[in-house]
Amino acid sequence: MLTRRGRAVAGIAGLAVLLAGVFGARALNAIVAPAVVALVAGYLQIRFVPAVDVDRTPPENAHVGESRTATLAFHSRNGDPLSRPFLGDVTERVGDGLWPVESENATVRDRPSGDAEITFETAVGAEPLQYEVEYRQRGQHTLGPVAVVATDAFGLHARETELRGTETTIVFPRVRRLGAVGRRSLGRLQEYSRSDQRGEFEELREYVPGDPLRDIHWKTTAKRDELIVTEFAADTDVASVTVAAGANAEGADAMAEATASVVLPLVADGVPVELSLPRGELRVGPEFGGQAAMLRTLAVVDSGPVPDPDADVVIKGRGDDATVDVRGRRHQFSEMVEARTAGTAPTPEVEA
Amino acid sequence: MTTAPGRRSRFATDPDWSLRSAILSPGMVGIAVLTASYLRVLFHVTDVVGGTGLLIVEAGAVLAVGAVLAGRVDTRTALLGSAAALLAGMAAYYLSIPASQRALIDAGSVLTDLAALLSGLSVFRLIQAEIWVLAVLPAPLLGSWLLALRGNYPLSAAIGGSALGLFVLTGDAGFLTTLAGAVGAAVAVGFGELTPRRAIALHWDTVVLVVTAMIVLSSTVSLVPGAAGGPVLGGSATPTLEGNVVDNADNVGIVGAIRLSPEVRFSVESERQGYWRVGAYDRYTGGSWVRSGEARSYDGQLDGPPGPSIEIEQTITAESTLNSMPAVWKPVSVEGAVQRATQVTAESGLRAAAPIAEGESYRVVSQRPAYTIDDLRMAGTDYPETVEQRYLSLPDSTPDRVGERAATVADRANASTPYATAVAIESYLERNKEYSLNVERPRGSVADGFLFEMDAGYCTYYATTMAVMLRTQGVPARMVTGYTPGERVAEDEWVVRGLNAHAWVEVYFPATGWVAFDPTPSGPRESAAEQRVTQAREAGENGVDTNRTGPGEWTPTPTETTTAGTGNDTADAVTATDNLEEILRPGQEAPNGTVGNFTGGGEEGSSDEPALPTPEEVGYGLVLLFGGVAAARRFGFDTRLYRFVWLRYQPRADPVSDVERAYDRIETLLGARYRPRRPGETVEDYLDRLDVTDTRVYRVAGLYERARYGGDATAADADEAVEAADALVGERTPVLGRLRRAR
Repeated sequence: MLTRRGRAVAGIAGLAVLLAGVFGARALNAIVAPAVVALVAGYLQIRFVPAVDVDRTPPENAHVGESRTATLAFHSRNGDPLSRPFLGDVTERVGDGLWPVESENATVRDRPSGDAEITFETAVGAEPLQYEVEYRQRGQHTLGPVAVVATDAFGLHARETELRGTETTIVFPRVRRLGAVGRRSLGRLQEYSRSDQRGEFEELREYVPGDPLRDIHWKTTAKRDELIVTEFAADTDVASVTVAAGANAEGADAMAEATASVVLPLVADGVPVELSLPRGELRVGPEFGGQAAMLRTLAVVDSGPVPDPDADVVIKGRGDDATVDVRGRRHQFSEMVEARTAGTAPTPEVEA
Repeated sequence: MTTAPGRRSRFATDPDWSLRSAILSPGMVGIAVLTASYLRVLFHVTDVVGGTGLLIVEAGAVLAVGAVLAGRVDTRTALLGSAAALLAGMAAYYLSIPASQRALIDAGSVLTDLAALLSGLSVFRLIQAEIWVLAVLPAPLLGSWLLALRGNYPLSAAIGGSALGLFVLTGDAGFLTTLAGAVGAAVAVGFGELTPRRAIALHWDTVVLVVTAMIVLSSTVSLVPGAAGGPVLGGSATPTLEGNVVDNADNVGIVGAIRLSPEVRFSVESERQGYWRVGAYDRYTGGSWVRSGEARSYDGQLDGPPGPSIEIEQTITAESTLNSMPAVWKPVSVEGAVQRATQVTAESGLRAAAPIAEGESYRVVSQRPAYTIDDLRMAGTDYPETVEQRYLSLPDSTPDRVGERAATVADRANASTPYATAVAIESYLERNKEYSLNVERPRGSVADGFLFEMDAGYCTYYATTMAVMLRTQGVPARMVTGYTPGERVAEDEWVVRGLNAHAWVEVYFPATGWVAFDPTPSGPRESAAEQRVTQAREAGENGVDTNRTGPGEWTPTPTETTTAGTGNDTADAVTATDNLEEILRPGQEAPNGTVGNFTGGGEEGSSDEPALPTPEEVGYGLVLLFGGVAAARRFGFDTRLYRFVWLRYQPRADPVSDVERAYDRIETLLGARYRPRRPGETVEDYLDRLDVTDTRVYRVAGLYERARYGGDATAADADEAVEAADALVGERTPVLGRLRRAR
């Protein structure tokens, strides 16, 4: 198909022929003949463009606010590298929530659907194409499909092929570093959860430094020469913290961010967390991990009512902010985090 | 292509842009060629009409301004600036037109003028052409320069191309100039497309190959209708003398070989014989003659010549479609149906605004200047200012030796008056140049070429050279075209054919007016015409004869004829010299033996001596060479050729590498015939699986494995391996193999 430039060249040639016919040839052949050669040569170049496939290396999963590199490499249908790379514009569709970064040889455009597309002017099959992707919104986002518009050396013809195949990248919610207020409020929760809610008596054992003095079993200690303490059965139900989260229609993002920011420091401090979300429950703990699964869930979780209003911590997303009730005391999430500039907490190493 | 990321405030320098890298970008080469092509046209114009120095200064200033601005403008601003420059230029031109003529300009006339320019009106015909050139240059130059510096080559080429296109349409850009411009635009767009894709190393061959094809195709094949000029290479379309000289009303390009058309054009009833004059041209461009100024429509009686004159009435009947209005100089009135379509040129000649149909006729009354030779001798040099302005100018590029030669010729003849100078130059040309229709157009100035490099030429060459030589001596002269009297079929009737088309010179004498001189030797010219008519009659061509003409020519009865007062003091001369008088005397035959050197147009080769290639030929040769290299690369011939030689020819080094290469060659053969060896497959397995039976293969394979993995091979091993490889290659490859087996 002729491009705009191709149509202009064809139009000029046609006009020249017309003027030559009406008013005399003059040197118009030196315009018409090159134009015809360029158009025919362009057609032939487009005609013999090889079929290609794309290898996409999607950017790694990461948190909102970060950016990663995506790579597109082209090879011929049978897997060999192209013997002769051809000129073309490569347009990759990048799903809403991701934002490709413009570079020297690539331009970015919004699509009406909310997706973005990045277009490379390049020689297809030569160097792999790389671009940075900014992560703007949590979720599971699609990269691709890619469209290749092959063109000739003069940009007169173009042929578009859409290469099927997409990849996904998961963008986790941002994890904010908690500020003084937040740490204090959660800190109380930790003390409480480690506290002296005694379960059933289990056994007596020797004292080791660090045991609370009130656990010393004085009767037995008096009978022996050493300090004996009472050991109670560990009550996991009591020791773990329950967190429940819900959100109104626009609050899902705030909820996800607040939940991730509250749960991950608890787990890092060794507190197991039982998390109930509008779509289900999961356990996250120092021993059995689960952070990655939680982040993946939080990346895609939808809004909904709080499933367990009696939980130790109740998080409610409302619009841009969330409220965090820690044992009945309400905090605004935005007040719990460090000053806005602090941004993302150094994320605990999470395999996702 | 380059869209600025985000909005920059206008006129802030773009930090990413550097003048140096913008100029060194490969696309800039194409823009430079394109710019050079239209600058060449403009410089040619100023060469003829003056103002070259100013044009150079202007071009330099525009380039400097562009270089300063380029870092600060985007595409939009560049286009706006270019449009503003165009408007300013046109306004300046408008103001430069004398006030009296300015009053006549309105929107309608501007549009007509524009249409006239686009349909082939040469820039030379504009009034104040030198100011027009200065006014028109800045816009395209600034626009394309700015855009090219910003890397927007397609748009830059479009702007430069429209400037060139304008000159193509006005007919001022020649074929090679136009082709150079088109190629420049293609190179600019091509490399402009490759550069941002970093694909120059990959695809330069495509661009070069396509450009070569452009050059070759446009030089050999004409894709446009009505290509009278014909392509440069291999074109067989020789124009006719008539088509070249008489048909094109406003300019006469001087061409190379030419042929004669024997078709009858018109017949004249007139009481006196004369040269049926069609048009005169004042502006000499070095390669053509142009009539400047506008024609006006005929509105009744015209002025006669300044001096005494004789009235001649002629009735001219078109025998086939006639594009001009021949009449004896100087016409004063026209009657007949064509009167309404008659125009009067700035030279006071008649011009047919519409073709005159076959059978139509018109009556012209002319006042032929009546003078004696003494009148002309005594005429002096008191020329009117308008005549001096129009008929003395020459292109700056006219070589000085033309003037020097003219001065020598005049000195030798002891010429002290303009008349004597004219006669001296006329007879010099008649004596020293042969008449031939089959000539090659000289490069550069035609007058200079004819005078110093050519031995022969035809009427336009003679007339041009004489007019130019006279102008160098300060004698106002112009080139005139028309028809010679033709075949006389009755006492007062002549039949004129296409081959009677002719060009001669008119010289201005105060108090007498324009007087004709014909420097073309008449004998050879007439016999060439005669020969062509005879040939056409024998070949039975159409339209050669009317019922009045034929071999039985009209013979003058010795009654009172027009030549009553012959001799030097005649008051009734057609032209001012004896020579022309003689040929006009009825019944005169061309003296035998004067035809010797004449060769008919396009019938024989002009000369046998090997000529040096012209610069064009050298250029085409280089283009083809470069294109061939590009084609070889584009289609992979270079690697194929390398493989071809590699397989067949093995230079010897040390035994180990000799054996290895010998085996490689054999494996290449096997790979082509069966399949290549897979990675990881051992040589032995490979040969076994292919079921190779030839023991030589196994033998070489064995030597190879020992050489490769043991590093061990003797000179004898190497000899054996190479010999086996040679033999196998010879058997497997068609041509060489057959030769080998035949031995």
